[in-house]
Parts: sequence; structure tokens; C-alpha cells
Amino acid sequence: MTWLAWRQLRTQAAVAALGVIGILVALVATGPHLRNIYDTVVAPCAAHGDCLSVTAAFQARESQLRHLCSALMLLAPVLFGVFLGAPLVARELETGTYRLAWTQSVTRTRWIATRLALVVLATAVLMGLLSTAVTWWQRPFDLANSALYINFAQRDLVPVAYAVFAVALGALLGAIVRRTLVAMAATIVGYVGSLYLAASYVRPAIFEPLRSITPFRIQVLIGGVQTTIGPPQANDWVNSDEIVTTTGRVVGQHGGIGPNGSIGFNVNNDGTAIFNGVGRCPNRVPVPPGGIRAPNPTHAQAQATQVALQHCVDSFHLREVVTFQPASRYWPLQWTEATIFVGLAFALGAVCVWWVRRRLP
Amino acid sequence: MSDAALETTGLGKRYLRYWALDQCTLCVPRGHVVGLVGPNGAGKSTLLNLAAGLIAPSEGSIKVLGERPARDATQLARVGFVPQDAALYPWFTIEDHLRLGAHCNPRWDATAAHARLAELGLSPRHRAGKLSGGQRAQLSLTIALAKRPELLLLDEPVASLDPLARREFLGLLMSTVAGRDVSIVLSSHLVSDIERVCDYLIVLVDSRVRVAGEIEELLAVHHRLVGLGHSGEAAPANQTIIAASETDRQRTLIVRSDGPVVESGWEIESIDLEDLVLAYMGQGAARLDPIATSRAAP
Repeated sequence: MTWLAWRQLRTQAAVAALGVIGILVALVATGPHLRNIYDTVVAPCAAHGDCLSVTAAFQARESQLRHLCSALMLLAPVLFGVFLGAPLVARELETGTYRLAWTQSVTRTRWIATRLALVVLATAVLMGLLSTAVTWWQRPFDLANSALYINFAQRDLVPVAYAVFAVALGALLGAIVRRTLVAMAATIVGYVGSLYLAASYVRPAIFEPLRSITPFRIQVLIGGVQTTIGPPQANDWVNSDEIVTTTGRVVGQHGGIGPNGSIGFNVNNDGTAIFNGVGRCPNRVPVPPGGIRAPNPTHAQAQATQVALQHCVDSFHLREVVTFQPASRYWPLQWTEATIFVGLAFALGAVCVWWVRRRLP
Repeated sequence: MSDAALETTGLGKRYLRYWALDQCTLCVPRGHVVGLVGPNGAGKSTLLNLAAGLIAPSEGSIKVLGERPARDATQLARVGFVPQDAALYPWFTIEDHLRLGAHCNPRWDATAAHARLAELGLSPRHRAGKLSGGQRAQLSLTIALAKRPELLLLDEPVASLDPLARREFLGLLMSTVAGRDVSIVLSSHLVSDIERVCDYLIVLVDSRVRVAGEIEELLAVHHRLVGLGHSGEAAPANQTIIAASETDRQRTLIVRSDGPVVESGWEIESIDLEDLVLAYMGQGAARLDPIATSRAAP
């Protein structure tokens, strides 16, 4: 039976392997050089105090290959699901070959179990190779980015788990709908939906997020307001960021104190500063002779306005409440999410075996 | 070995609200070449798929060689199945199909399979998708035979073949199984196929078994009665009328009678297999069928 399962898989497996090998060659050819640049130029930049431009220049490197990597890591799992999973049972039913396969001296249970196992194994190996290579290659960029979680779904373990899940999902949907094309489409929809749910609802909730509460500080610049970043460090993953008043009312999100995250404020001609939805500070802002909206304020005027606004906001005693996952939870999260998806894959596989045994054709 | 080749009790298969096979009770002893005949859509494929274990019954029971079909690997090994339209993997070569058989069947007879294909002039390197209908049927049969089954099921094996290829296929089938201890059930919608090779007949019409039995015995108990000028008169007693036709001048009946037929005023003729099958097939309308009416009030 293993022979038949392999014979039916080998063409697709060979195509997938060729693709993986192709990208591996490109990554291995360019990777060491990138690493070298990072180690010699980007990492020591802090000592020279010119990190911004050095990092920006580094980020611009190999942009095409980086886009290709991103696209591959997003697409590869669902491609495995669509081309290895969905046709697994559906094509047999569609072309009638199940009548040959299921009348040999192999029970249906063994037939489907063997085929699923082999496809899952091939998927895990190929996707594992791909993910390892991409993670290794992207590492210098990820370090320069200081945003560990931004590519969480494209690095390390979880893409492999996604691919295994997609294959099991495709196989089950193929057995249920019995049409290869419909099963392929359904696999895409089901996969994208599952990943969306996982990223939006499951991943942030796996571990109770840490919470930091700090006084809300703003830095008013001429013509605008800029907030200072709260306590989460670089590489932490901010789940929510709310600005609350002393009474606990939420007046803003993500560093802003307006309804849409921006900081909206007006200053009246009598010098009253009004922060929409938060509060007002009467007669604090010095009004220049030409009125508050007089063009071309002098530097001294602008600075006085800035200080006044800052005092105004400080007088509200706003607090910034941030919930976040620290960088130290990256690996526990990777393992947990990967385990969840592999577990789901096994559950779907079990249903698929049952379906093929009991519900087909 | 005393078990029947095929035994069904009240077997039925329903698709949504449509009964593809209904109230099928059969007991086919081993050692026969069974012809399963009936019009398209009568339920022949359904019965064979049930026997091969590809589909499960909706009601009733079926036993093949004394066991539930496809119960385990051992049971699967004892039954060879040649599906309709010879289900093959189009991108597999002939050699691949033989290796499939070798890897999936413990009793696989590789020598015989290769010899048979060589006899047919089929190169192992050909892709199955490029074979003609006749070659596909032959390959399918070769795979089923190489399993060394005790029961061989063939679902319309010759339906897609031209008359010459039909004759060849059936001839080869019979010469291959000659001298082997194998029972065969093959379905066809053509009586001529059955007549050539079978010694046991099952007629399926409208999802129901009309008649089943050894062909010789069936022919012995069925008669054609021709009555000149008997139009409108009562039918002969103690006989089951299978079919009746009338013209202005004469009335013709096909009857089943287990005893000797002695009817004054009727001319008694023996009938051939085709007449017999057509008589039962013509009996299509449910109202003529005592089994059908009995189902309505169980």
C-alpha cells in the first residue's frame, strides 16, 4: 500500500521539492553575505549613533527575494493543502479509480491512513526545510527590524503546522464534497478562515497578556502631537493600547486620544485648549496678537503653545494601559500554536478516515 | 467452501428517496458463471458494487463467499472486481498497475499477469490513459484475475467494446478461468453476452430481481403458449403468466410452470434465453408485479 501511496504522490512531491530546492539555493547563495553585513555594519551601529540610516539601507537589500520569501511562506501551506490534500480522495471519487483502489486486498481504512500519513510526512519535511531556510535567511532583517512577532506566522514552527493542517483539511473536504475543484476552493476558504481566527483570537489569548500602566505623555510638536512609546520593549507584541482617564473611561487607542487614534485638539481665541472627548484647559495657551491661527508664529510663540498644551494634557492625569506579549514568550507561543494546528490536523485526519470508511462513496 | 458465492436477504440500496436496488433476495451457489442482465439503470451496478463492498446496503444483508463484503483484507483478497469502464489510473503505466496489484495483494500472481498481457500484446510501458476501451477492459480483468480470487465480479465489462472485441474479451475470460475454482458474476444489458458464457441468470428490472436461477432449469420451466382465436379467454390455470401479447388472430403467453404443461387449445413451444429475458423485462410496470404491491403494505 505504501508503494501505491508513494506512486500517487511522487509527481506532486517532486514538483514541490524542486520549488523548495530552488528557493534554498537562492537563500544559501545570498544568506552568508547578508549575515556578514549585519554583523559588521548593522549590529555595531549603536556605537556610532547612526542606526536609522544604516538600518534603512540594510532593509533595502534583497527586497525582491524578501518579498518572494514572504509570499512563499504565506502561500506554501495552502498550496500543499490545495494540491496534495484536496485531490487525495476527491480525484479518486471523481475519476472512479476508487473502485480499483478499494477492491485490492487492502482495507479502506489502511488505504486512507497510509495515503494521509505519507502526504503529511512529505508536507512536513518540505515545509520544514522551507521554513528553516527562510527563518535563517531572514534572521538579520528580523534582528534589524526589532519586531519579532511581525512575521510570527512565517517563521520557525508554525508554517509547518499550518501546512500539515491544510493538507488534512483538504483531504477531508475532498472526501466530503467529492469534487476536486470545489474541494480546492473550499480548502482555501477554510484555511484562510482558520488562520484568521488563530491570529486574531487564539494567539493573543494563549497566554494572559502582560499589562503596563503608565502616565500618558505627549510631546506636542508644531502643527501636531506625537506620543512617546510606553513601556513595551522592542520585539514585544502589543495586543492593545488604551488611553484611560482617572475614572477609567477609555478616551483613545494606540497612543492617540481621539476617537480614531489621532489626537484631536482645538485652541480657541481665548486660549482655551479643547481636547475632543477628553477635557479642556481654560486660558492656558498664550494667544499671540494676531489671534490663535495667525500664520508664521515665532519660535518663542510656538514653544509657549507647546508647553501649554503639554501641561494641559498632563492635567488630565491620563494613563496609558498597554497589554502585550513579551519577546520571551515567542517560543512558547510558537510551540503552542504549532501544537494546536497539528492537533487539529490529526483530528481532521481522523474524521477523514472515518468518513472514507463509513460515508463513501 | 459450502458457502454460497453470493447470498442476499431483503437487500436494498437507497439514494436519497430513490431505491437503486430493492428487496433483493438471492442465493447463488459457487461454481457458476452468473449473468446479471437488465436494462440500463436496473440496479446491476448497484448489486455488484454492494458485492464488492464499495457501497453499503441501506437495508437487508449481503454475504459474499459467506462473509460481509470488504470486511477485512482477507475477504477483499478473495473477490476480484472489474469495474464498469475499467477504472484505471490514467497517468500510471501498465507496469505501474501490475506493481500496484503486486504491492496490494498477498496472493498476487505476477507471472500470470505478465504472461496474460504479453499474450494480449500490451507493452508494460504504455500509459493506461492511452489504451483503447478493449485494452483497458483487458488490463482491468488481468489485475482482477492476478489476485487469484474465488469470486470474480465484472460490471458491464464489455459495454464499451465493439462486437468483435466483446466476443474476444468473453472468450479470453472463459479460457482463462477454465479449470479454475472460481465463480463469476458478470453484468450486461445484452442477452447475447450472457448467452455465450453464463449458466446462471439473474434478471434485474426496476431495481428488483425478476427471476434468478440456472439457465437450463429456467428454460425447462418456461414455455410459450400460443392460442389461436383465444382472445379474451381466461388464462390457463396453475401457471404464472410472465408476459402476454395479443393480436387480432392469436394470443401469445410466456408462462412459468414447474409441472408439465398440458393445455388443450394452446400450442406449447419452448423458448430461448432471449425470449425469457425479454418476457421478464417487459414486465416492467410495477402494477403487474406481485412483489411490488406487497412492499406497499408490509
